[in-house]
Amino acid sequence: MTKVRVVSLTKNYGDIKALKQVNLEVEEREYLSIIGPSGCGKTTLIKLIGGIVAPSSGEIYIDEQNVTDTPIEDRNTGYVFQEIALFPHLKVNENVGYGPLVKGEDREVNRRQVREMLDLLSLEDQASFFPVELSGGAKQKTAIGRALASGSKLLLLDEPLGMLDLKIRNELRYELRKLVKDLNLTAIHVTHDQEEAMSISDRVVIMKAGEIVEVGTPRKLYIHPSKIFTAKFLGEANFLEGKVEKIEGNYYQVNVSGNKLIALGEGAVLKENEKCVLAIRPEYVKLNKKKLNEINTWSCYVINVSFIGSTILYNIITDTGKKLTTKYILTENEPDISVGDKLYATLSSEHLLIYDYPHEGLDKALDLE
Amino acid sequence: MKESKSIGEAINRLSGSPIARKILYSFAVFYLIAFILLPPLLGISFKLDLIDQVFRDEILLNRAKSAIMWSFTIAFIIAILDLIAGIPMAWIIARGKSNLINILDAFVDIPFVIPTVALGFSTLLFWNSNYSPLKFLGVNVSPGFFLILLLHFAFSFPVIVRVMVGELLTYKDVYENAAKSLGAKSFTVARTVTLPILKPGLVAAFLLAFARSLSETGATMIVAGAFENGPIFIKNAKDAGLEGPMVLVSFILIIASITVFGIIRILGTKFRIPIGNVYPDFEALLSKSISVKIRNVLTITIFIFLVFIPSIFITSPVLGAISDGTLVKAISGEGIWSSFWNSMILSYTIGIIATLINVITGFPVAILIARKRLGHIGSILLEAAVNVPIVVPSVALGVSLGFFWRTFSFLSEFWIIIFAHTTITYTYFVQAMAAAIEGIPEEMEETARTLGSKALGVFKNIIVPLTKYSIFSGAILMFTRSVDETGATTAVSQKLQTAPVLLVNWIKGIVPATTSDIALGISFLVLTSFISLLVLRLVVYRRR
Ligand SMILES: Nc1ncnc2c1ncn2[C@@H]1O[C@H](COP(=O)(O)OP(=O)(O)OP(=O)(O)O)[C@@H](O)[C@H]1O
Ligand SMILES: [Mg+2]
Repeated sequence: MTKVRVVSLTKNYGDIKALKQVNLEVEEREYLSIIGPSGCGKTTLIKLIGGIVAPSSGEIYIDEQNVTDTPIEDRNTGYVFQEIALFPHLKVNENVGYGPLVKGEDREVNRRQVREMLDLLSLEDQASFFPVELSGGAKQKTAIGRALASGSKLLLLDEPLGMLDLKIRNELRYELRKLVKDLNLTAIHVTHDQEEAMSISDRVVIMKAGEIVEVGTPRKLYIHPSKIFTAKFLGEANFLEGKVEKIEGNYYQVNVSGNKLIALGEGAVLKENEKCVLAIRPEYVKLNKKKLNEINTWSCYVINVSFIGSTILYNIITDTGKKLTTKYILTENEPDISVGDKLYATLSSEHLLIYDYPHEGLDKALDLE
Repeated sequence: MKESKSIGEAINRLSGSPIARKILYSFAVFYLIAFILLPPLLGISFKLDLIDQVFRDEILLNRAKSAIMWSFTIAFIIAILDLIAGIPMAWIIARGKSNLINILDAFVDIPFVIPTVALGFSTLLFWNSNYSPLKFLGVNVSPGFFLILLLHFAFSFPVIVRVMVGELLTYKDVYENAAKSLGAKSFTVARTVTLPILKPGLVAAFLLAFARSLSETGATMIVAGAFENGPIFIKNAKDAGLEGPMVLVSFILIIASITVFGIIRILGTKFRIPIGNVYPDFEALLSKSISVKIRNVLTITIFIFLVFIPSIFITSPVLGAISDGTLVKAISGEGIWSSFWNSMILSYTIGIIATLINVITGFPVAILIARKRLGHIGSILLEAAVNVPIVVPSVALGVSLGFFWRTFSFLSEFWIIIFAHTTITYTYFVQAMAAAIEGIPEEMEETARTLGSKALGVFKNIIVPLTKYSIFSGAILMFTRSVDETGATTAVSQKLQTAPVLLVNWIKGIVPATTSDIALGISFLVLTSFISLLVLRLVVYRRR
């Protein structure tokens, strides 16, 4: 069943168009992430779903009920605010118990629910602390606990892990997903951390400038993004401008500054002689000392090597002046490559993504604004 | 332009230095002690030996005891009643969307811009006129306890509303949204989240109203009849040629109220507003828009009939003044009116200068108090010092200030009045500001600091924008208080006459003036204050 459905939802703040005609469906028990650059309207979208701000136009359905005009307090969502917003005058247990309290829950029942929730989040020891006395992680957990304890089946999370350091964040995100799954909840989770989005979500929504760019499973969006912006925003990619020369079945022969590249363009709808953009993830650009292959292989120089822990990045420049980034997972035998080396770079056809040349121009299409 | 920028940068850099900050804070505390705390205290303490007068007289002593008791009782009742009536009013002003709210917002200050003696007369006249709602019920309100309550309710009302509006506008609505998202209805949210979070503001508002009621003399003496609270007892004893009661009662009021303040402050931080049980159905009913409408109508009705009309009733002959030629006389500055306009200019000049001095010297002290920079005890002592001027009965304050400042023979009368006014008004600003600053999470300042912002940057970019309304309302409280102050100004001035002092002379018949003259004079004072406040409000605070 559909848990949440928004229909051409629009929100203007004066002249600022924060949200433009957005449509989205979220399935029951789904874990959905919304990700996009800062200011793209993520918070606005879930605030509208939560009823915290009213839309300029469009409709919102929760459990197939039109709730567009329903006030916040009657929407029955569990909302975790970007600002956290724990009640500063209440202790952790009172914060968590606030939802049941205002719904007139029996004192004993309330106390039990709170205890269970604190157990679940391992916050028992901090039950009688005030928010100012908590660490960032405990604050975030309390905020999540408070939202969960309200008994809502729909969790709206606005960067719920945003204030935490990497390590706690990585731990907590799996806990969060587990909680949602164990309790049969539906979660809409806003984040700007792509790794977080991909690792915990059933589906990911990519937003840009008040619009939804693409929705899909993390795998689909990473491996076969249908929009060029997705390729740019989720993970990293190299982009090359070119022109379609020949189409043979699913294979496209593209001319990139005089060199031809073959790309497997499943589902692409391009015609011969059309301008296009190719994208390839750094890990699919392979470097070799010898020219092992004729197709899709360019000679190049290494201009920079960056060691970043589990991976190594090589920046190269081809004979035709194209700059590319390649990525290697660090295994026992680190490739013997250093700055200045002359090598051959092979761009795997299967992983070369092909797109229409964006009518607004490539830079504009990739722009994060 | 470039130069001023680099000067600004230099100042900014300087503000990062701990020594510069220490000097600034020390200066502010020095100013507080030397100009605000000592003048009212020293004047009185020079006459400490007069206390004997009271102790030798059993009857006088008993009168003093009962008067002090009543003072505290009345102040307590008034502060509570005004909180109950003032909070919904502050809510309407802070949350209302209509443009008319700006006018309502300005109307609230009316009792503050009417000279206190005139306010007393106005209250007396109104409650005994045919328009009095009580008269309608067949009740005559003769001077005494009940009329004092009505009067004090009116003049303490703006204090509460000003402080609470400032608080509400500083408050982040994310807490309310959080509570609502958990299913709380708006009444429940206000009761369990908003008001408890605004506790520092509630305490500050309570204390200001309490103190104002405790010390007011000018208006109270008009409506007191045979009833005596502290200030009236002082006044009566003084009229009978005894200064001892003034010294004794002033001291007791100062010490007792500082104790009360200290207790409320200490308990205030420990004490949590109980949330208790929530009754969802009942509270949902109270949150319904019809209930809110009823509450708003009730609030505004109470304001109109208990505060607004009783305060301006004395100006009602003003319509007659327009037809009987008084208006023409006034505008052309004929007869007694020639000195009126000079007095008006004097009052406004003094009000502006005193306000500026206090904003500059009071801000650092408000920060010290709010951030407990001098430790818990230190900030309580500091706050007690700040509160002294408004708990000293204004008759005593006037005598004391006059005595103190006249010892500096090089000071012109103009500056003596200004210094007296800074003393009288200082508390309103610092209290309101401290409460507002306390409401800004300290983390926010720390964040700005870690981002490289120097103290001045934090002040300019965080404290000022977030407390804009409180600065503004604190300044209004001071300014209007300065413009309408009568009792103490009479005592310190000799040749110069501020507008309220002049009007009192008219009212008392010291200068022969007609009812039309008086009504028109007060109307001018009220109207000019009102208009300047309205303009200021629109300029400084364009939030709608
Ligand atoms: N209350 C408001 N008034 C005016 N403009 C607003 C308001 N709230 C948001 N905006 C604007 O709407 C746009 C979208 O804001 P939103 O907060 O939804 O972005 P976001 O994607 O959540 O960004 P971030 O990742 O920084 O949290 C921004 O341009 C923002 O400046
Ligand atoms: Mg956001």
